[in-house]
Amino acid sequence: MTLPVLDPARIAKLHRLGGRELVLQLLDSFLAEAASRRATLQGADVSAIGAVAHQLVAGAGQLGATALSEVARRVDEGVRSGDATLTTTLIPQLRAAFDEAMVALAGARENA
Amino acid sequence: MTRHRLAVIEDNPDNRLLLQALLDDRYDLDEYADGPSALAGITAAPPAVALLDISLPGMDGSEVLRRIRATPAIAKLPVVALTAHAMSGDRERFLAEGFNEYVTKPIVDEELLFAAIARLLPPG
Repeated sequence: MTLPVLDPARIAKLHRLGGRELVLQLLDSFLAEAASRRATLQGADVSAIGAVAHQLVAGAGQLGATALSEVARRVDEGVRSGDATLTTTLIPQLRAAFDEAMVALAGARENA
Repeated sequence: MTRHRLAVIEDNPDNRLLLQALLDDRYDLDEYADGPSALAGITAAPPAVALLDISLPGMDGSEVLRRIRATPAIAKLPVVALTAHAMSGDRERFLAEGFNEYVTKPIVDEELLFAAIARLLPPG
């Protein structure tokens, strides 16, 4: 099963909860963090990557970036459990999912 | 109908905003961004239930809970762990630490959060 890069139902729900203002605030705040998070993901500090992944589980998930949230969960767990595939597989997957999600979320921001 | 007061202890402003959007038409919210200010505020004016993020900077949620349980005036306060930690065993671990309920983030189904809060509120 492939999770969606962006599940539009989540943003629609945020819209019902708090209107366009809530959607824009959450999207803008998340997008504003993107560059520094991406830089951390590119680096070699695994515990810093784990901390970013932990934030992404909820942050991406509540905006409907479901695939990113799920990969972030696996990385967060992998850092905590010392998963051997972390640097070879999981972190590269997280970088790819992050890039895909940011494009989709930037698009959602344009259309919000 | 009485409106209950909830304490929301969460460092991330976006998560606080989302919790506000979910909760503020049902409850009065006292918001705190860190453990020490939450402990001071909760002790001065105890809420009906506290929602406590685990990954707080500095004093984490588990430590905040330990201090709540060690403070006689608020030792019995019902506390919901709010966390993106959702590995198998996490739920049991947080309940064993003394949390009364455990709700995972992202909050995709807010009914689970409402139900957890409702179970902890006084009857009536």
